[in-house]
Amino acid sequence: MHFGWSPEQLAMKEAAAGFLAASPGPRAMDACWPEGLWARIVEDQGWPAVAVPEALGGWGFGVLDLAVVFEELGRRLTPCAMLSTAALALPVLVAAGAADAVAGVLAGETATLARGPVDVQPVEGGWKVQGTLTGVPDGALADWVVVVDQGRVIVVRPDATTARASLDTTRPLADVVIDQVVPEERCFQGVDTDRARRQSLVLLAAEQVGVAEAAMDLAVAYAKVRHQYGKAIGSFQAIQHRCAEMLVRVESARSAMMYAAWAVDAGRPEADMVVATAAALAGEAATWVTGEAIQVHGGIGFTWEHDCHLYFKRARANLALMGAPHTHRARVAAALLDGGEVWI
Amino acid sequence: MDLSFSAADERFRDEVRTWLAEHLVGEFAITRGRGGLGDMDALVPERIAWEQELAKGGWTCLGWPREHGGRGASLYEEVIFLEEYARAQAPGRVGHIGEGLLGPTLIHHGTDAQRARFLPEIVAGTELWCQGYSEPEAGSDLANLKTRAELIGDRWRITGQKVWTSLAESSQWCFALVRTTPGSVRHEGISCLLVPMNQPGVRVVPIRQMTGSAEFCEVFFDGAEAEHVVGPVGGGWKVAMSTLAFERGASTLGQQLSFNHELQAVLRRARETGAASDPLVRDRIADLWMRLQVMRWNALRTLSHEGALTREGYLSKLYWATWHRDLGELAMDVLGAAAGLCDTGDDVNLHRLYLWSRSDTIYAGTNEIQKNIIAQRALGMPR
Repeated sequence: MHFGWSPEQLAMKEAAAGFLAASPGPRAMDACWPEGLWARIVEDQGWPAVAVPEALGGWGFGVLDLAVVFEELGRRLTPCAMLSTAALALPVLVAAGAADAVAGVLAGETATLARGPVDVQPVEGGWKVQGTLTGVPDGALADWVVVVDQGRVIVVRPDATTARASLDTTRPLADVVIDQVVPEERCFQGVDTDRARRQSLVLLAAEQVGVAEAAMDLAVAYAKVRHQYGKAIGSFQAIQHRCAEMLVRVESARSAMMYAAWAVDAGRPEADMVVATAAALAGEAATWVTGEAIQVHGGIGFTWEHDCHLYFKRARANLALMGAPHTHRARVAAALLDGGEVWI
Repeated sequence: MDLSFSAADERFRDEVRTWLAEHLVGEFAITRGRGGLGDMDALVPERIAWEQELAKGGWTCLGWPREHGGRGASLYEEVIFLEEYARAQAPGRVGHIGEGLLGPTLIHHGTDAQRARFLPEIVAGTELWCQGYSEPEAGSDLANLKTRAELIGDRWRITGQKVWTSLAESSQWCFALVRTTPGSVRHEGISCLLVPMNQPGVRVVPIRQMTGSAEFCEVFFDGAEAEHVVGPVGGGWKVAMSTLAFERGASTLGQQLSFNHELQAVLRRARETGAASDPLVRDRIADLWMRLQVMRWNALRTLSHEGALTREGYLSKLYWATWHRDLGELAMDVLGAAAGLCDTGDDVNLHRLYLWSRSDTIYAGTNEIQKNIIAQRALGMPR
């Protein structure tokens, strides 16, 4: 019995940490990803391929293996296409069996995910697709937009995009306009996206754990050096208790995320419930901890110059993608109260 | 990540399960589900008999080395035993202080003579121990203890008072921290004495708690005598602190099963009263369920480090105590207008949970002390 990262996963985590520490940080994002970063991620690290099945050209590992990378991405807030491409788009492309699109991504293209509705009409050679999708993460930057509309998956290059002012400037949102005939081979019907949804949630949860932990580390480090009233503020009980509570949230979220990732990869029957658990706990951990980190920093935590707000905003932007914690709890409550006893 | 136990461990689990199913019957059946938190003064004679039944089956002191009467069980086996014990709803253990605290302390710090005298009786369940640490002026600040002892000949004469001593009325021995160096303060000059309870100088007075039950006692020492010191005279603080570290968190997995029983009872009641259709109640139920799973996962993570205290290991007591308190509050909200009635069928269990849980965040290190420890030891914040 071993509940923890394997030596290989720890090695991957360490390698990711080292790579990201040497890569551009969140302030290097200037309406566009830092030059050459994605190419290095694809060629040197191979991250997009990790959780893609071997039959589609990937490594054939699971989200548990990719989770360590996302923890580190959350810690560093590295501005790149990993979340959109590897966490949001790829799981859906894999579910749809979109071999060409997957191959393109593994070769270096980026992609993102948008949820419909869009208008789809059959025409000669394909489908006429029309619609505007709002607030798509990396919508103006990604090569492909993967549109999900119930059981239908459509892979398109946007006809037009409008960048939106975004709370999290490291992952800018855009409105995407689609008005084109999409060939048959890029339209997929009857796709079961449930598993993809769970995979995405787990990876978002992993990133949130990293975000929360980094914010906690900033707060603890600051409390140790900031002196007021002749002492480090970290010696004051109110500050200590706040930070202790941060650790509770971070480690609880991490435990939930690890189990959920394992359960998704193993196809466990409780996967839905534990993914909801991870989503709720990691989402709340990140938003709460990043907020309290500002509080521990006092006035300086409120400045643009300090990094606290970057974590605070990423946590909230991720939460918007994951869905509010109470919606995940409602799902679990329904299973418990309307579906009988559930115990793992 | 591999959440399966080994084949040998699963065989062990079957062995435990079978034995419990075959033995928690007949005269012992009445003890099922009894003697746990908030119910520790219940059916004591029956639970003493059960302790001896466990001993006959070789189930006491599992983790002790074989040469001291144990089975040399691995941490996993201990955890499995506790899980199955909780699953079978076997009663709260009357021998838990001897098995979990005094025994390991003697194994690590005692003399051969002390081990020979005391360990076999603990294993057999024929002598029970209580713990004499806290005092009225020494709760969170244990080093403020004032109970003192002076050496007269080869015996220590003890004067003072202990409080919150569980099972004092049923115990033959008390493992007490007393100040043996006159004029010493704080951690210095304290010794661990083994005090026979059945003597004129020891008076036990039960404390009635807000639950109505009296699981804890005051113990007054007025010229009580003791001859055994564990570890060096004046070096008792270190011995006591190492004792506390012996609790490796193995028990929490069994505790989660018990907690799940309680959660399920609250869910059932919520359906009956209609509270289960209230969205805010549903939200809290889901939150408690989620946090219970996390409790288990945190424990499995700690277990995977072979019991070494990891960051998530520091959170254990704070986490479960807070959870239990929150469950108690939800239970009362589920009863709603009926929460003021304590005699309605099984609701007596919910009321006991509600009242008892107010102590969970206090004993064995208050929530506030836990947070201090987490901040200082897990996060390295300055004292």
